[in-house]
Amino acid sequence: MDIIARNHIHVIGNLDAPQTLMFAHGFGLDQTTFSKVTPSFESDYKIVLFDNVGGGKAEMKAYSPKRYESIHGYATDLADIIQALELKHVTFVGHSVSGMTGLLNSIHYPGMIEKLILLGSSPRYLNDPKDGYIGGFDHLALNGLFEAMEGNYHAWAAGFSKLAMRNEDRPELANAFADTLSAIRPDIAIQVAKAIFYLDYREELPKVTLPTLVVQTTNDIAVPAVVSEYLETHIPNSRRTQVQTEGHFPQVSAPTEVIAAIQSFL
Amino acid sequence: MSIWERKALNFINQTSRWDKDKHISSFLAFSISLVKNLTGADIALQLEFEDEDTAKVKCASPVHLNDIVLNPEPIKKLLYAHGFKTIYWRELPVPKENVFKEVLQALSSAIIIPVNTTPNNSLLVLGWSEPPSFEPDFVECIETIRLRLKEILLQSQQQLYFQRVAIRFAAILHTIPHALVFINNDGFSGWVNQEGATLLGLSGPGEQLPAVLSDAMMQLRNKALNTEEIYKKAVHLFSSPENALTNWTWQLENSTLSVSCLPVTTQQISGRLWIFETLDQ
Repeated sequence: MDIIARNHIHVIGNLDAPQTLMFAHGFGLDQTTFSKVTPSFESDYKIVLFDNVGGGKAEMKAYSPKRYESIHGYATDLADIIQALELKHVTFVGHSVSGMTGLLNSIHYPGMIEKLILLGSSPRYLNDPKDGYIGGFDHLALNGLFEAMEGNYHAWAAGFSKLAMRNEDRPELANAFADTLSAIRPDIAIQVAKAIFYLDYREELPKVTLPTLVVQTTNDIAVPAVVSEYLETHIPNSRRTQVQTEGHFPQVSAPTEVIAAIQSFL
Repeated sequence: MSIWERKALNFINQTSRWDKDKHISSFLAFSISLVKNLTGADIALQLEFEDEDTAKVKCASPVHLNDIVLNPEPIKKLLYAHGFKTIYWRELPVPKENVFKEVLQALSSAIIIPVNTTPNNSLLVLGWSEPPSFEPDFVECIETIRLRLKEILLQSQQQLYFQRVAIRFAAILHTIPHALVFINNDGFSGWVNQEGATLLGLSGPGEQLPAVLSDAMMQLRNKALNTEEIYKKAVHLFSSPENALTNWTWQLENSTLSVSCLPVTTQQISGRLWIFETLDQ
């Protein structure tokens, strides 16, 4: 299958630039989530945007429940994209679950990515009392989440988008997220959500050798602050920065701060 | 006997003595781990072609390689080019041509062992950081292991398939609100769902000896207030194995049952399915 069509890839910015910035969206979003961030880098970077299979305008027929049973399938897609476009000197900006996708790619396909930026990412969402790890969710919460998704997906999407976006004074942000979330086929959304919320890549973190920036917002329903501290502690060459906005989507709610954080790392 | 002949025999012996009480899913992992130990490999894993977009790493040692997804197409091309025979790489191809580069990092040689089974083909990958000498006895050993691995894989896949089917059908049949009893004509096997077990006063659902089921059904029938009518219809019913009966009323003291008895005849199985439906009073 044609990779460009599969992931609805767009390459913008300075196509002759030696450096590439690759933006990967999180669950329930598409590449337009970075529309307020990318203009600041267009003159100096080749910018690659794409949609994860199962979301946005990616090829629906490319969705395989087997391939995307875990996020390893998305890490392989990322390798396919980098190889197909022959990208060099890639800084990967992964929002939410895509941060982990980039992290896995850096481990299993060394040399493809040079720097990692993890925007609201988590190596595990489920608490692990045995290890004293706080991911933010317990089994009860996740069971309730999936029951709600399976019971009435669109009603769940409307409610979840408000909780995840915060920024109640700007309801249009949550509405926009609800729209992209609702556009996903419910069975795919539920499978991908399970792959995300049950993932556990804590043991992979020490294997990351790339310079890594961990970006944390305040009051993120999906990723508590202690998770970003955990990432900083366990990824050897990493540092952490906090952007002053609430919710799980700083690229939407506080793009200026995200731009500044990325620029400080580049 | 050469050392590699002994290792091949060792593999067959150990996999034949595998503890069958353990779950079948661990059989293949055990076997692959054994191959790794016997050959001194640094990594060993199964790659299963799950669908046209997915080749997934399983039973890997080291375990962190598990779940990696590879693109099947280039791997299938490689296998096809080698006629689906074992591929011996004394030196790994350059990364651009190495379709297993994700799993063969920091290694210098590898063996790719295709194991063709249906519905899902697999292959085994072994990798070494210090290249072993692929001498004829070693190659012979690998080919013997390959044959045994195919048997193990087939056995594992079939058993997992049957377990899944059994779980699915048990769930469906236990959910049906009617009491169901199946009695196989072989005289050795029968099956009852939860409703059936409750109705017949059995300890639990599932497999039961036909004699136990028949005895319990007789006791139920004897409790009926219309035993004579039941008996008359039963005589007709059992006059031919092809006869079926529905809407057969068994009037009990506190309830009325509508009973159906249907012959079940397929190539693999022959018996009778009893369906008991409690009618509203």
